[in-house]
Amino acid sequence: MNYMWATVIVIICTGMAALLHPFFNISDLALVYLPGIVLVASRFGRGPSVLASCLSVLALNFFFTQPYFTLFVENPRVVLTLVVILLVALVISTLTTRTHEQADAAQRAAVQVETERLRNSLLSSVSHDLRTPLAVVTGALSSTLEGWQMLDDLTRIDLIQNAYDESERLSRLLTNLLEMTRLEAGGLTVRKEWQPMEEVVGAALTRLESRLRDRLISVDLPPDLPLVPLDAVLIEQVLLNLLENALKYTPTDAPISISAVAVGTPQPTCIQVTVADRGLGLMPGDERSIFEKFNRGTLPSGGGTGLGLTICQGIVCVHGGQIWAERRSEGGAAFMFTLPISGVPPRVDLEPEPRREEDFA
Amino acid sequence: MSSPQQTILLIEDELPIRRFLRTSLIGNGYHLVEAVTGREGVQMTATVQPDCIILDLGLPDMDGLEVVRTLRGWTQTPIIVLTARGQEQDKIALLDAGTDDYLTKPFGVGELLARIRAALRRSSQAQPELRDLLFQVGQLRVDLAMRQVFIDDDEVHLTPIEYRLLSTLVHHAGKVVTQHQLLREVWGPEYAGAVHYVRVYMQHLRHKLEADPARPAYFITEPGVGYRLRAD
Repeated sequence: MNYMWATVIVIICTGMAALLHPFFNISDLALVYLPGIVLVASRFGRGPSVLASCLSVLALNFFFTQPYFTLFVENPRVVLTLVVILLVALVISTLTTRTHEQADAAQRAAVQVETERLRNSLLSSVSHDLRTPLAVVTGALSSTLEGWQMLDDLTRIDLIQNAYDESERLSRLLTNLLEMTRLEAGGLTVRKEWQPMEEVVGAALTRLESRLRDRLISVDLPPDLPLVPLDAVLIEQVLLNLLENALKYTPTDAPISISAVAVGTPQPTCIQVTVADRGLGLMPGDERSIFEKFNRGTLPSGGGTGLGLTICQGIVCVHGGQIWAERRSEGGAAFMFTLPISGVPPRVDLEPEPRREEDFA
Repeated sequence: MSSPQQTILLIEDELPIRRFLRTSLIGNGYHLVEAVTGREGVQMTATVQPDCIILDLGLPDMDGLEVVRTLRGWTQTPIIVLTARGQEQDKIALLDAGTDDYLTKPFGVGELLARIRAALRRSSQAQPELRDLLFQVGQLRVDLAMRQVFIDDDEVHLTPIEYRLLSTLVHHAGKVVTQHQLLREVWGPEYAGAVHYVRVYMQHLRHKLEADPARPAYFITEPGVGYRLRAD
């Protein structure tokens, strides 16, 4: 394939040289071929560029030296010119290929350094984030065990509850880490199916039930919201992460709202989901940076890995949607994401065949 | 509580998990026998004849799916599987192979006991004359004999498909039912592949029977797997 491109480029150069031939001599025409050879060398590597060099000299010889349309050359000076052109072409192609390879190697090295840096910061971040809840679990349980006689029931329950809450946090941290690893390794399989958004929102709220019990949550999903092709497990994770952030960064009496609207007329082209809170909001400039890995924003940290939003972004991206954050003018933060409605929605024939049983309606 | 001294077979190779389940299950009045490998578990199922089996998937000697298939070759004893998160396709395969239910690690004892109760209830229902014809959870009441559905004392009118979907879930109350199983049992084989029907009609049920359809109290979604009608 690459050799074919080399040949094609030489043919194009020959065409251009033919147009210029009446006005220039052989060594000037050779200059027309050199950019072609550089192009082949930089794009297709060494072999094709050597082929292009040889073909160029043969073409010069065949079409543009007297006698025309033979490979025979009368004038010894022209022979010398052709040999020099061949050498120059070969040197240029070698140099270009080498520069190109070095650039590639430099880029690979840079990526490696970056990966290494990320791995180190991941390790230090992870070991810190895992150790904190683990320390609470160990501490709370050991005080309960060792001080059993001295402690009253309420204190014991409080300590055990504390250990339990922290072990749940540990589990959530691990889930996010695992998800991140899968996203990065490209090992995330997306199983999109047409579903109502309400069901995914419901699943996320059910999973967070115990932690949302004392919170004011409003859900606003229009009844005519169309079905959306999505992976329920992954989009649930997006909602979980957004809701957990809202829980973590807002006072307990601040309301949280979830809403969705269909966008586009006459047929909706996507739906936009919003998770908004009335907490401290975002600092100016944080709207973008909070989506970066290990970034927890400039406000006091809620003790996460700083991976939640990065995961959200990754998942929304593989769905072909977008995610962004806004500061609400009346206070608080809002996180929005879109999910495109691509393809033809499946038909739903309501109540198609109720013959075996009588209708209760 | 269910009748005393029902036997549970725990097939689990991790000692800490066995230890924690031992305390919890014996503390809740069950008789517990333990197996450490898949092969041992299969043998003990034959000799002990437990009322319920709890099977961990990460056994050293046999794949969990293989254990389930082996057992289902000759026994209908309820099987509850302990799995890790994020393996929805595996869960579906296990349920299709005859697993009754699953629990995702880490889990609380409350969840496990609810699953065991639901599994034991269903296996005692194997004889149809014992089947309860009245189902009740929270404010939802389903009279299977009269085919009537109530929220508190108000009758709710369902369409035939909605009622069939509800009664299928009631029949499996407390247990997860896959979307394809619901599609097969409610719509029939000619609808295979039209999974969105299940989702659309589940939404109808929620809008008719849940106080807040977006925060369901009865019709729980298990994302990527199926649905569960809360039983207690």
